[in-house]
Order: sequence, then C-alpha cells, then structure tokens
Amino acid sequence: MTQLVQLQQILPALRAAGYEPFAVSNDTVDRLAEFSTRYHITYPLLSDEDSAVIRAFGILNTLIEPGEGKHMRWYGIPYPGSYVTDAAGVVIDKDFHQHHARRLSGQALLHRLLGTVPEPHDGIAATTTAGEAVALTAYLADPTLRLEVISTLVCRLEIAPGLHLYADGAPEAFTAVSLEVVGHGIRVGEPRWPEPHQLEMAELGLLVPVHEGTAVVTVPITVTSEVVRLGHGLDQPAVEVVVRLRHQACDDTSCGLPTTIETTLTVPLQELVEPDGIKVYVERLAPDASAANPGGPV
Amino acid sequence: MADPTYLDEFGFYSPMPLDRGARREPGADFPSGPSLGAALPPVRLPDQRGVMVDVAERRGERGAILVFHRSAYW
Repeated sequence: MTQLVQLQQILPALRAAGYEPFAVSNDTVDRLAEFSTRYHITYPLLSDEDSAVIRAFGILNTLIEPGEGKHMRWYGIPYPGSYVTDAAGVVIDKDFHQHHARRLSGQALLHRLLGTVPEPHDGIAATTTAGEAVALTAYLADPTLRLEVISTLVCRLEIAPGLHLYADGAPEAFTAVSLEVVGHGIRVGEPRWPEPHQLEMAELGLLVPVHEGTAVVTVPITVTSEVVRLGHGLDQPAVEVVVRLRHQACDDTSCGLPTTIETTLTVPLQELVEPDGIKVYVERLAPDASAANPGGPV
Repeated sequence: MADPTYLDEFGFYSPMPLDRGARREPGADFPSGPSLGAALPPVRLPDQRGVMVDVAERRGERGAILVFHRSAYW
C-alpha cells in the first residue's frame, strides 16, 4: 500500500532522526514477503496473523463479522492508524482517522514528528507571486498528491524589510493576514501559522501581533475521489491549487490598504499502489464498463 | 465521473461495493488504542522474512513508529 511504500521512502530520514518504523497487519508472512520484495521494503512488516496484538491494542475492526471476506482475511484487520513512541516505549503521538484511507504522507509524518519543513527542491513544483509588500511562494512537501493521503502545502511569505503584516489577534481596525486554499478535487485543513512577533505600538499603549521577515505557513492537503479513483488510474495528471493571501502591510508610520495576492500551484497526481487483492474488484467491474458502452467491443 | 454505487459517505471511491465489510467505516468515537502517555503494549511478531521481532528491543535512539494497516495484499 501507498503508506508502506512512503515509509520506505522516508526511512533514511527517520533513522537519521533516531526513529525506527514497524508496520503491523493480519497479513500472513508469505504475503508480506511478496509485497516487500515487489516494493523493496526493508523495515519490518510484522505479521499478526491471529490478530492477537491488534486485539491487545483494542483496535480490532469489529464491524467485520468472522468469516467475512475470508480469502482477503478481512476479519481480524485493525482500524488503521499509527503511534509514535519515545525511546522508553511511551506513546507520544498517534494518528487515527475515521476514514480508512486517510493517513499522513511520508513528508507530512516527518513534518509532524520533527517539526521540519522541506525546502523547495528539484522535482517539486513551486510557484511564486510577488506583491508590493509580500512575495508568496507555495509548494508541496511531497513530489505528488495521492488519494486521501494527507500531504503538507507549504506557503512561504517573504515580507519586505521594514513592513509587517497583522496577525490574528490584532485590533479589529487592522486586517489580520489570512490564507485561503481552493481547487477542484482537493480538500484542505486549517492553516498553521508561526508564532507572531509582538509589536509595541507606543501611542496606542498596545502590543500587537504581527508577522515580519519570513513566515512559513503549512496547510494539510489531500486529493479526493473527484479526481483520483482507486482501480481506475488517473482522470487527469495534475490538480491546480490556488493559494490566496489576504493581508494589510504597514510600516512604523503608515498602512497600505488591505489587499489579496494569489498564486496557482500545479501539483502532479500519483497513481495508487494497487496490490493484487484490489485487482479482483477491478476485474469484477469490467462487465459494468462494457454494459455502459454496449456498442463497444465485447 | 465516478459511479455513485461505489462512492461512500466520505466521497471516497473504491471498486469494492459499498456493502462489503472492508468498506464499513466506524463512528466518530471508534477505539484508537493506547492513549498519549501510556506505555505501548508488547509487540513481538514475525517480520516478512519470518524472523521474530520485538519492537521494544528494536526501537531507535529516539523511539519507534508503529503503523497498523489493513493489508499489504488489498
């Protein structure tokens, strides 16, 4: 699965940071061996064939009845999710979602774990729009977006020297900076802003939160089934992500008018890793396809 | 666009019909196991080579990441 392959891709970074990954499922050793050979997985894929560990964690999927999906071994699967422990084995973070397909991308996991954001680099699309007071650069932390896998959209604000943007919590008379991310086939979470500076406004006797210099904002982002469907390849090679920055820039003596700048990032999509099991269902769909197109070849 | 027969309430498409067990999603309060601050229960299982792995003995200097997934096969 995508998640297991992405973990392999970030394995050097994880180990350099002192973390060792493990994956657990009720798959048999044979199936895990086949998968790890095909996708070159070198970290441990653990086989909890009788779901004893899954039960001990209390995360057995009890919506599946014993005997259901026997060939696929549905009974005994966990609710999918992940834990991070410290060196003593104490849980310090966990990530579970109500929908089975949602999980953090490799880079989003690194971001959450280490607090680091990758620089834009070769192989990653980036876009910049320069306004009068601020230049807005947007790029994705991962090379591609994948169905329901939560990546990180990085929005870097370069604020011109001597200027500041008002942050959330500034008096109502000022327009606080805000970021909006929109696009067809994407879903985004709440932007995470860096801690603002406190600017002393002596004549008002106020400390006002502002952003100055460089501010890096991160936004959780994923692509939905509107544009990527499991078992059907890609309808389109990329999605357009529009980032709008509403802001009011001021120096120590005067303020500009509130304004909005916008930049559009084209993010490539990635076909899903589709292990053998899912092909059974894709093949069953084939008659539907010919029925929808009765004039086509049989 | 996607055949709605295969779209779930979250707008997720899979070629597996909606009434199949593997497409049932839990309610919002589903169990997610050990809480933050709790000790991870013991995990001692065979890996893809059939070698027994004890997570407690194989953690990194800073810790471990333990991913529970539905299957590498489907």
